[in-house]
This record gives sequence, structure tokens and C-alpha cells, in this order.
Amino acid sequence: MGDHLLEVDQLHLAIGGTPLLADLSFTVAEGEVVGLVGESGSGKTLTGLTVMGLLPPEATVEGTITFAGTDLLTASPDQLRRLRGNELSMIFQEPRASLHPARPVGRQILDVVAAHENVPKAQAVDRACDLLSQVGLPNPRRTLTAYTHELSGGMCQRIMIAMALVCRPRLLIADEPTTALDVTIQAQIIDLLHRLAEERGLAVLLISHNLGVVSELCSRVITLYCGQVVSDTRTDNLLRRPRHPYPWALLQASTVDLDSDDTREWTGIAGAPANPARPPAGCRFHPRCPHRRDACVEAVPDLVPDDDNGLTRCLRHRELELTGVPA
Amino acid sequence: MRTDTEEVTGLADEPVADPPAANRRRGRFAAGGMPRFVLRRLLLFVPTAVGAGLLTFLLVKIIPGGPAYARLGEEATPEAIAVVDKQLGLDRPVVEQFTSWLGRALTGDLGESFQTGQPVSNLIALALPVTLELVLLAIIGTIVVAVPLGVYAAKRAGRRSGRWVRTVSGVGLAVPDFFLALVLISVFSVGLGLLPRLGYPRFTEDPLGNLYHVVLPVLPMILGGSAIVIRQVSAAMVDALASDHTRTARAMGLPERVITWRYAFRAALPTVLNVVALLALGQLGVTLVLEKIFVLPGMGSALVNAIGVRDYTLILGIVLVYVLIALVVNLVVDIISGLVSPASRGA
Repeated sequence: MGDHLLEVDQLHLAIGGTPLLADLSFTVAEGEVVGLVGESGSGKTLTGLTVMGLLPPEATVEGTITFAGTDLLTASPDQLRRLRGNELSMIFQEPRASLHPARPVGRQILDVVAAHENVPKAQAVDRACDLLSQVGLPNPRRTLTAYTHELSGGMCQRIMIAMALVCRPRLLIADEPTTALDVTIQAQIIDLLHRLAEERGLAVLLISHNLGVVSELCSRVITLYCGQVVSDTRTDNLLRRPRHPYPWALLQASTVDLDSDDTREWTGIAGAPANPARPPAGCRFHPRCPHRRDACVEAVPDLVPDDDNGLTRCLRHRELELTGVPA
Repeated sequence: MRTDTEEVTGLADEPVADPPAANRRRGRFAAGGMPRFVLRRLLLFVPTAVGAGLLTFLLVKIIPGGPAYARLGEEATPEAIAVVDKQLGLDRPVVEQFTSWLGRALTGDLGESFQTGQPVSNLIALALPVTLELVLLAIIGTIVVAVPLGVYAAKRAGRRSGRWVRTVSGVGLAVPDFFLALVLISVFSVGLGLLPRLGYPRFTEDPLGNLYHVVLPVLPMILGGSAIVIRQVSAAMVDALASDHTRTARAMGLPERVITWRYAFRAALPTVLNVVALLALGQLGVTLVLEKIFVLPGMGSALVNAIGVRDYTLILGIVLVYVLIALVVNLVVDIISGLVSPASRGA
């Protein structure tokens, strides 16, 4: 497993004694763009924050997170600080709120450079300008002196991306980077991430509830349900033939055309998301699963290889013929 | 307000027109700039002063007795009182008394003290520096003590040391300043003999002696003020440290010191400034009592004495100065707040 940039192994997370992530394992290879999907509360964002070491102090974490050979969970605060923004970086859902309102955005980018590298200011400014034009902002030099209230949400997200990439990290965790933006801007930001990942050999962990966004950008999709990985497979395989009923249900839900008259058959995903603090016995998805059998209730299924070289946490993955979405 | 739809047209051509120019256009100081803003606010002084003057005038009139009684004593005959009243112009109708005082006050003439006959402006010129010194030192001391402690309490919120700071400042809130002053006197002056309780050499004549003598009066103001400011700073910092932009700063690996001061404290700064300004005005009230306790020749002592002898002109003159101070403090805070939080300039 030595070639993985990020390796999360048997991660358990509890905050204030409430378990939120259970036995979470996945990897991201160098230069790979991976999606992390699931409903609200499934633990996607927490996973990202855990990797970054940005959890509140009352959180307790077990397991290992290895990034480029460093164990992030045992690293010292100073070691972590040197990695953050430099080797691994993160962008967030609300781009405007995520930038400081009273500091010109250029200064904020230069602060990141100054935190990690000892370069002359003029050189850092040039680099910031370069990057701002790479993320599609015209007039970089002027934009550097702008405050967030003078910029649109889409521009703020471009600046966040520039800030996250200014020290050339190897991994970018993007937490719902387009959710707060309108649809046309979403597409532009997705394109931008796609281009930057390719040009820079950047690995991206894209956290999203939007399978459309994920399938456009990611070569592999990890599906979380109730704090566990339930499916981890190549995007094309997932779209063609899901090997777990939960991502299958998500796919079905995402293909419903609410404008058409023919929504009679649409049932959504029955029931409410399970609570990771009090998970159901056995397979955590079984109370909502139309394909469950008695065996599903008895024991927690293991994450096992499926026939497509992916992983699934479903006992019946071989027998079920789940339909994907038309390409 | 810009919207995302502006980006629909394409990436490279349009969006950022010219942010600094946009900033100027939308700025608070926009129409005519800063000088005009300041001028407008200073003009506000006139109606405020008239209102405050009227209110004070009416309150003073409600107090039983009058300057003549105060001067002549309880045994005074009605005839003698009438003579004095006529001398002071108190025999005229109340409305006329007020308008004639107001008319002169607006031209800068505050009249003469009923009691001493000296111009009120001279008395104020002597008393004001004493009070301003107390308040200024108290505010500087409070900032020095309370800002670091408030930030510390916020960084350690939820831990024992942070809770300690908040608890102690909570106790401090409950202790009245004059009581604190009495305790400090008995400890540092009576008990240890370290600090003088009485005497006030003028700063211009004996700077060190002056500072030495104001330590004890200023100390309770600093302690009392810090109790308030620590809690407010700490609350504002807890919010700032929990904000999305602080999370970003952490995610980018900025050093903790930079995150605390350059990011979080900067975000909390407008709140801190407002708290300090409010405190400065509150401390003006505290000087009323403390100047009495420490027998300092400031505005507070002068006002209390003037009320005692019903020295109407002096009372009104002092209140007018208080109003002016309040307006100037608010103005300065508004200007500074505008400078530190660019987004609020649009308001």
C-alpha cells in the first residue's frame, strides 16, 4: 500500500463521547481525484476535518491516517501546521465566510506563503498573481487588494482555491466547494478543479452530496453511510452497476426529473438517515434497504472486494442486479 | 451587490471591475468623504447639547432650595432671598432664563459661577484635565490588562485556566468601584503605606508626583473596567476563533500567533473598540464618586459641589462638557470602526 498518498485506516471518531465515524478506511493515490459522497450527517465533512487535524478539542480519534509516510494522528501540532496549506490543503463550502472580511484577499494568500516558505515579498506577490490568473480571475493585481465584500461568491471560491494551492500541496480536500454557488458557477469551478488537478498532478478528495458533480470530476467514488464506508469503486462502474443498495438508491434519487409528469414511481430513499450515535444492528442501511434479508440484521457486513475491483459492504452484492444510470 | 451571474459571461473578461474604486464608491465616507462625515456628526452636537441642557436645567429646577438658600442659609428672610435671586437673574421667567443661558452658551460663553463669580469656562479648564487624566489612564490600563486576559480566556475557553479568568472577572463585575477604592486605600495606603491617599500635584508641575498620586484612584477604575472588558473581549474572541475564516487560516497552516492576533483579534476588534468606548463614558460617571473619595479637583468633585450649592451655571456648563465628550468619543469610535472593518463602510 506504499504508493498511496493518503491512507485512512480503521478510523473511529467520537465528539464529546458521541461516536460519529466507525471503522472508516480508504486511500487516495498521488494525483488521484476521489469523490466522497453521502447524505448530510454521514460524516463526509468530519472525515475531511479529521484528515486536516481541524477537529474540536473534545474529539477523540482512533485508527491511523498516513499522509506521505507521516502519521497525522500522532504528529505534533507544529508538524501538522507545516503540512497544512503546504502539503495538504482544504477549501470549504461557504467561500465568502471562509475568507477574512477585514483583510485584503491578496494579503491572506501572501500570509499562506509566508507561513511555509521564506521567499521575498515581491516574488510571493508575483506567484499569487500568476495563480489568480490561473484560477480565472482577471486583473490579478487589483484583485489582490480587494476585500471579500467586493467579490462574488464564485470569485471568493476561486481565491480560496488559489490560496489552497499557492504552496503547491499534493492533496486538496474540497468540502462541497460548489454547493453554495449557483449552477453556472458550479460548472466553472468544477472545470477549474479538473484542469488544476490534471496540470499539477494534484490529488483531490472531493466531498459532495451531489453525485452529478462527483461523477464529472472523480475517477473513483467512496460512499459513506452513517459514518462507515459502504462502497468504494470506480465511477464508471458505480454509474453502470452499483454494488451496494445505498449508492444505488442515491443514483436513482439523483436521476429523478422533478419537472416531468412521470414522478409517480419516485419514492426517494425510504426512512430517515441512521444516527451514527445509535446505529442499527447489522448492516447500518438495512432499515431503509428494499433488498434486505434476515442475515443483514444479524452482523455488520465487512467491506469486501466486489466483482469490479471495488469494495462493498453488502452481503448480497453478488446476487443483486442493481441498475445504474444511462450514460 | 455583485452576484455570481456576472460570471456567466465568461472567466476572463469582466468581473472585477476595479475593487478599490468600488470600495471608494460604496464607502461610508462616500458622499463628500471623511471631512463631511465628521462635520455632519459635529453639527449633531448642537441639538444634542440643547436637549441635554434643557433636561439638566429642568432637573436642577426640580431640586428643592436654590442658590440663594445655599448662600444665605436656612434662616434667610424672603426679602434677602429675593435680592440674591434678582442679582443672579433668577427672578425672570424660567423659559427666559433657559433661552438666555442657551444663547450665550452657543456662542461659547458659559457664564459665571453663582458661587464664586468666576467664569465657568475657567473652572472647567482647571477641572477637566484632572478628570480626563483619570479616565485616560484608566482606559489605557484596562486595555493593557483586559485585552490579553480576554484573549487568553477565549483561547482557553472550556479549560480550567480560561474559566478562572472569567470567574474572577465575574466577581469583579459585582464589586462596586467605590468599595474597591476603599479596600485599596486600606490595603495600600493605610496598611502598607505604599501609596498616598490624598494630594494632587499638577502634572505640569510635578509629572512623577502626579502619576504617583493618581495610582490609587485609577486602580479601582482599571480593575472595575477590566472585569467588563475581559468578558466582552473573551466572548468576541470565542466567536472569532470559531468562525469559518479562522478555520481557513488553520487549514492553511498559519502559525497560531498569526491566527489569534492578525485574524481572530482583527475580526473581534470592532466589538472591542465599542466596548472600550462605552467603558470610557461609564468611567466618566465613576470619576464622580472617586474624585470625591480621593479629594481630586476634577469635574466630578466640581459637579457634586455645584449641585450642593445649586450653582446652576456651573452644573449646566459641566453637563455640556460631558455631552461634548460623549459625542466626540462616539465619533472617534465610528471613524475607527469604519477604518478597521471595510465591509461596514457600506452601511
